[in-house]
This record gives sequence, C-alpha cells and structure tokens, in this order.
Amino acid sequence: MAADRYELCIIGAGIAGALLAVTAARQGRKVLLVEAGNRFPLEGRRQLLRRYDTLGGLYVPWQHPGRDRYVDSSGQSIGYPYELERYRAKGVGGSTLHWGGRAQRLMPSDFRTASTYGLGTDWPLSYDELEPYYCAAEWEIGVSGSPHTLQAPRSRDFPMPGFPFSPDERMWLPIAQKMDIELYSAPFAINSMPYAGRTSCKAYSACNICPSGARYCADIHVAEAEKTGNCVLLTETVARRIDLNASGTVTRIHATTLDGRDLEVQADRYVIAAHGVESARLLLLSKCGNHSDQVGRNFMEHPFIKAAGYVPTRQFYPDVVGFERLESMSFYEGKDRQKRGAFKLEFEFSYDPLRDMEFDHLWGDALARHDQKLFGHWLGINVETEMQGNADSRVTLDSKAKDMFGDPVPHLRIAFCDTDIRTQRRALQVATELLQAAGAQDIRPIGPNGLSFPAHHMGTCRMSKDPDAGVVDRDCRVHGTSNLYVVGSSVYPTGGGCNPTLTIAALSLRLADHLLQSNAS
Amino acid sequence: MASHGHPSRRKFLIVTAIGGVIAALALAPKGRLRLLVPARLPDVSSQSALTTATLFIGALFAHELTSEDSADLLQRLRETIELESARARDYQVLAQYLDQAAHSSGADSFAAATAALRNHILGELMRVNPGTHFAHLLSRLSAGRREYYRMRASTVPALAWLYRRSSIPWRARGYRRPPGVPDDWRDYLTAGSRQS
Repeated sequence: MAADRYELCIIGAGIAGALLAVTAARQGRKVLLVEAGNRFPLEGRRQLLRRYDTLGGLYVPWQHPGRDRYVDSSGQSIGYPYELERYRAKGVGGSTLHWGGRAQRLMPSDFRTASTYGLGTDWPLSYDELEPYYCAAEWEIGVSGSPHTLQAPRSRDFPMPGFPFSPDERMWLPIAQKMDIELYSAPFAINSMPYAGRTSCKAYSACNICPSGARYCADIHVAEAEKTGNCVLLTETVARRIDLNASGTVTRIHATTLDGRDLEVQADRYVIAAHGVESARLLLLSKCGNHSDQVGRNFMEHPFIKAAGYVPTRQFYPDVVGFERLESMSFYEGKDRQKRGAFKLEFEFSYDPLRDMEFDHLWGDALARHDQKLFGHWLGINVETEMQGNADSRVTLDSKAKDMFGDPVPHLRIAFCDTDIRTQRRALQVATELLQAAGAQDIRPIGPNGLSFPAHHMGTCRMSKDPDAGVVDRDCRVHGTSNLYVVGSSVYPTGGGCNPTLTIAALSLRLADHLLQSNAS
Repeated sequence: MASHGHPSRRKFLIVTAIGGVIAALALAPKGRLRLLVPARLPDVSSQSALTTATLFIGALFAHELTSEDSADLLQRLRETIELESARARDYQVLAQYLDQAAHSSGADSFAAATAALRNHILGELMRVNPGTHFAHLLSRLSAGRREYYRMRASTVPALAWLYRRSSIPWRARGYRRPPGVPDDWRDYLTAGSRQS
C-alpha cells in the first residue's frame, strides 16, 4: 500500500466520505477511501431485516465487539447512560445504513446564534454560502419535499414532490391552526417517485433497514466512485494514527485491518469523515489539531423530548408506511429564543403497546387488553431540541479501556447546560399543550424525563475562525495544518434542531469544491 | 492488630453472611430450579423445546395461536438458532423449566397443561425481577439460579421481540398487510387501507 500514492485519502465511507469521494473520482482524481466497517449491499438488506426481526436488539449487523468499544460516563452528568453502540453504524454508507431519511436544512439563524440570540457561537460560514451546496446535496441524494415558508429559503426546487399527509395527520391541521402553529410535510431522502435509478418507496414500514433502496444510502455513491476506476475502497480497515510533521503537513496515515495487517497510506490530502466520535478520537490519538484543547469538546446531540397520550375517540392506523411526515418549525425561532434553543416538532402515531410488557410489567390477558385499548389510539409528539455546545460535553480517550488494537477507546460524557434544560422544559410544555388540544388523555413523557437521543453526534471538531476557539477553519482544514481536513457533523459549531445529515452532505460537497479548485490552481 | 481487637465482629459477619445465603436459598423458588444445570439439559429435544416456546409466546401475549401462527413462530425460532446456535440452549432451558413447573402442578408438561395452569406458571416467571441485588447474589451462588434469572432477563424478552416483529400481532389487529410486506406507498393516503 505504501507504494500507491493518492491525491485524496478519506477516512470513513459514510455520506460525507462518499460524496467527497464520488465528486473527486468523477473528475479523475485518485481517491483512497478507508472504512472501518464492511459492505452491506442492497441485495442483502431483506435478509438483514429478517435477521433483525428475529434476533432483535442483540443483532446489530454493523457492530464489531472488539473494534467498537467505548466508555460512557454521561450518567454522572445527565443521569442516564448514552448507548453509543446502538446508534452508530460502521460500514460502507455509515449512518445512512440505518437512518430515518429526514433531510432537512439548518435554518439561517443556526449559523449566527451568538449574534442573533446571544447563545452559542456563530459559524465562520453563512447559510447563503452553503445554500447552493444544500441544493446540490438534495439532488445528489434525492430528496422528496414540499417547500414551506417556515423551512430555510431555497434557490432550487426539491427533486421530487413531498409525501402528502395521511388522514391521521390531517387530524392535526385544524388543531394546529387554532394554536397558530404551522405544519408541513417533512423532506425525506426517500423516493416518492423513481429517481436516480432507484425505485419509489415500497412501504415496507421497516425504514431502519430499507430493503427496497428507495431510501438513500451513501453506499450508492461509494459504488459509483469505485466504478469510475479512480477510487479504491479499503473495508474493515481502521485508521489509527496520523503522522504530522513539524511544518504541519500530514505525511501518512497508519491503519490496521480487522484481520491484523498494518498499512501505511500516503496521499496529497487527507480528510477525516469518521463522524462525531471517531473523528475526534483519531485526532486525539494522533495528537493532531489539539493545540487549543478543543478536540472532542462541545459534543452535541439533539435531545428528543417525547410525550404521548391516549385518544379514545379516534382510530389511527400506525406503521402503514414506516415514516411520519408531519413537522412544525413554529417554535424554531420566537420571542423567548434568547433564553432557549431551537426546536422542531414531529408528530407520531406509530406505537406498539406490546412493547410495554417490560416497562409496565404486563403479560397474558392484561397485556392483550392493553394492546386492544391503546393500539391505534395513541398520539405522540417528538420534539427535536437544540443542545448548546459546552466544553464539558466531550469525547476523550479513556485512560484504561482499549480496543482490539490496543488503542484507548473513546470516553463519552454528555453534559447539559442551563439553556438546554430550559429548552427541554419548554419543549415538553409545548408537546403537552398540543396533546391536550387534541383531546388526549393520560398524557405522559416517554422515557426518563421524556428524554431520548436520536444518534446525532455533532460538534467535537468545531469549525472556527479563531484557531484558539475550534479545530477546523471555514474550509474544514484543521487549524495549523496544510493538508488535513475534517468533514461531517463533528465540525458543526451549532446543531440547531434539525436532523444533521443534509448539512453533512452540503459541507462535504463544499469541501470537494474547495479541494478540487485549490488542487487545480 | 485490628483483627485481634474485633473477633466477635468478624464472627458476626461470617455468621450473618452464611445465614443470609441459607435464607436466600430457602426463600428462592424451590424444586424445579434445581434441575436447571447445564449438563442435564438434553432431556428436552430441540423440536419439543421449540413447540413449548411457541406455546409460551401464546400465553405471554394471551394469543390463541392458529396452526399458521405456530408454524410461522417455529420457523422464526429455527432461524434464530441457525443465526445464533446458543439460542437452542436458551429454548431448552425455558422448556425444561416450564415442563417441570407444569409437572409439579400435576400436568404432564407445559404443552399438556390447561390454559389456567399455563397462565399461573407464566405469572410466576414474569414476576421475577432479575435486576435486584438479591438476584445477583443468588446468580453468583448457583448455576441453576443463574440460568433461571437469565431465562427471565434474556430469553423471555427475545421471544417477545420475535412475536412483536412477526406479522402475527398485526393480523390480530386487523392488518391485511403487516409491516415488512411491500406495497404501493400511496396506500397510506386512505384511512384503514391496510385493514381487512
């Protein structure tokens, strides 16, 4: 491997790495893509789904027990553990192997929260600068959407029409109107019509492992990059160290395959696209980019605040298509925004009362009655809330635990600040008011304090203008280095209250432009 | 020096610990657990263990399974064993426990037990909390207890998952096309379109 030299070496074949690789490969650049996980091709997904349906939570195909160890001490700060292993996917396609497909832009205000609300930090990049790349990303991955004034402004239509509301969802329209809340159909990277050689949605209602390929998965772009003949993919190969010389130039990357072969990789430029946890860990392991002690700090999630209630007077039809479209950004901005973060509402009908067997200690006839009563009579609201970056919420290297290669594992500790708590309380209040207005009874938070996490790992390699305030500059280049970049949600200075994947894609396409233009010049 | 100073305290602790263990073993469910020792498991053939597991699922969800339902569950159980051979042993432990419980109440087996007896046995098992300190202590002391708590903490939830993710509860709820079966997505635009 040391004999081959590439123009671009990308660590991680998730959506960020895949889009960067395909854009470079299409232009004839020699690309090496290094991926810690394996391939999970579309033709095997039906079988994957069947295995998941039978083996259940014990079976997560992209997990590797030796490679993916971690330590979590979030319980000390927020009172609950954070189950990283359930949430991250190491494989070709990365988290898009099991994402829900929500493809939303951040709002312009998310890029300047400090100057607008006195909260968080401003991006060294504006929404307007990223907007063309949002459009490009939507057309690359295929997004079905219906424009709405509450969404971020756009200069180009969605490539596919959005999914209409179901009769169940339409129930919310008059209630929301009375409460001055605007609703829209959320944009999804799920085909509402055949697009880019992929089928339209087949309504498997099993979106976590979409067997039809209608939901975008980034392995599509990895395959296209390989087909050009300009991209080499190494699977089950874990990047472990970056060699950085005294002048700030990366000279090589050391990697090891899962079967124990050591490799050295050389390229002109190196891009780490290994998601919010592993990108920071690789920099920490390599002692790169951490001159200001910022690597790994500001870890952000989108704490989900969930509430639900029982509606005896209506009949709903859960799980008919597998994803629910109704959303509202009416509380994203607002007069109290200087005291709390942004949040977005999602409306749910899908709920399986049988899963309450363990939570509510039900079995036999009591469980059957519980199912009969609640199934199709349950309304839920998820509120995706913004979490502020804070220095104590971070990824570090664990001092004791090691992975299969003998490297320290990531140690995760999520910590909330007062603003986060205010955001979450306000979110629960709004959700409760809405459920009351819908006539729901027995309204209660779902999960401890109504809190859960959707696996959005952001912020550990923060983008900043000032090298002392972050890890990468506005072009995603690691401060103080000449040829090392980080791309993905790890560079977000703020995470807003919108799902992060489309912004990851837009940043990746912007970085591709930057690298290809600067290389050409 | 300190050890010479507190002989009665040490004796008290030892006596208390031994007493605690005896009390724990005395208080724990009797009889049927003693046989849950790994070496004795092959008593139950794998086919009958799977059949007993499907009957247990039926009792757990108070669902009178049709022959089609049972065949579907049996197929899924076999698949789990193909994917994870250790599951076979889990099902054998469960079947042996259920059969012994039925036998101690006068029935030949769990399969031959009345619905009322099955529910009684189910209730006994479901009321067990494997997460307590007491359960952890007993698990350390006895392989049989360890099997017992593992059965409740792991095997039962795995069987519940298997049922929930099958099409069986969806059919019972009136869905003619359960999740996992493809169709035209526009179907959801009509209320009740998946209902029979």
